[in-house]
Amino acid sequence: MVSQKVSAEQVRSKVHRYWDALANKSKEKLTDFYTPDALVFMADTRRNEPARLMIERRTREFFDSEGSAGADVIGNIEVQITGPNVAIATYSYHFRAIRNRNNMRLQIDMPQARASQIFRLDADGEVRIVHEHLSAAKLPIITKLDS
Amino acid sequence: MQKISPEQVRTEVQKFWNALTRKSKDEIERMYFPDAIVFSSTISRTEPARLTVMRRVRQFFGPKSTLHVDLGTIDVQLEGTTAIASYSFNFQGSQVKADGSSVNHEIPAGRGTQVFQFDESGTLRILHEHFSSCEPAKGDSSLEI
Repeated sequence: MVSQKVSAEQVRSKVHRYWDALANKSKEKLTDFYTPDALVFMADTRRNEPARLMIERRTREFFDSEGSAGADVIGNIEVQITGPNVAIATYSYHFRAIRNRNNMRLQIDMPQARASQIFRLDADGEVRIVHEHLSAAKLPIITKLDS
Repeated sequence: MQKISPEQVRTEVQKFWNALTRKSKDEIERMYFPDAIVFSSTISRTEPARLTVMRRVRQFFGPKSTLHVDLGTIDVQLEGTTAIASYSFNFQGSQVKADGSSVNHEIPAGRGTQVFQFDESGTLRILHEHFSSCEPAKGDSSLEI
């Protein structure tokens, strides 16, 4: 039984650490940000999917190669606390990546990205993402790079 | 403490889209908590739900405008007193402007996340909403949903 309460500062700190983990290309660390049953919408997928599938794809496209991914949070991270163990973080961010897909190297620049991440406070005192919706307000700029 | 069931949440999502396509401003307004915040489809920042509703009314609730939506499977995640609905949708709308000109809109690959909780009276309401598209909208690029 978790007696702790989730705090807005804990959630904001976790959001920053999440993007650091992505930039550091750490599959293990990234996996630990999600609950095992987490569902996610990535910016370019039609349907939601289990987080573990998204992590496999990110690993293949960004981590296991000369790919990279990173983001700068823009402005405030708004946090709605909906219960002792649940919080919603919403914010805008600028996403940049170099992705390898179908033998192509692509540079992605997404300056107007938006995130909703819903966190649960787990028994070990860590907040983890149970649901994530990432999207682009405007179309990303995608440039094909030489392989 | 009242428990939320997945079926209740799916019903609320259906009610939301039914109210929107029937252009019922009052019903739509009542579905949000007063402090609900929304990411609508192409705006880079969150906004209070009341502003989103006002824009939807202005854009789509004219007497000759039409709205149609097809929803995919609604997944529901329950976290204590909070429920998260997520689903895909296809949206088509025609906006008839004051000068009589008509503009068609389509979101072929819409995605929605809506977070619900019970209010004090036991009614499920939305406290956060995120709508987006993974493909560019067709028609007028000013479309917001």
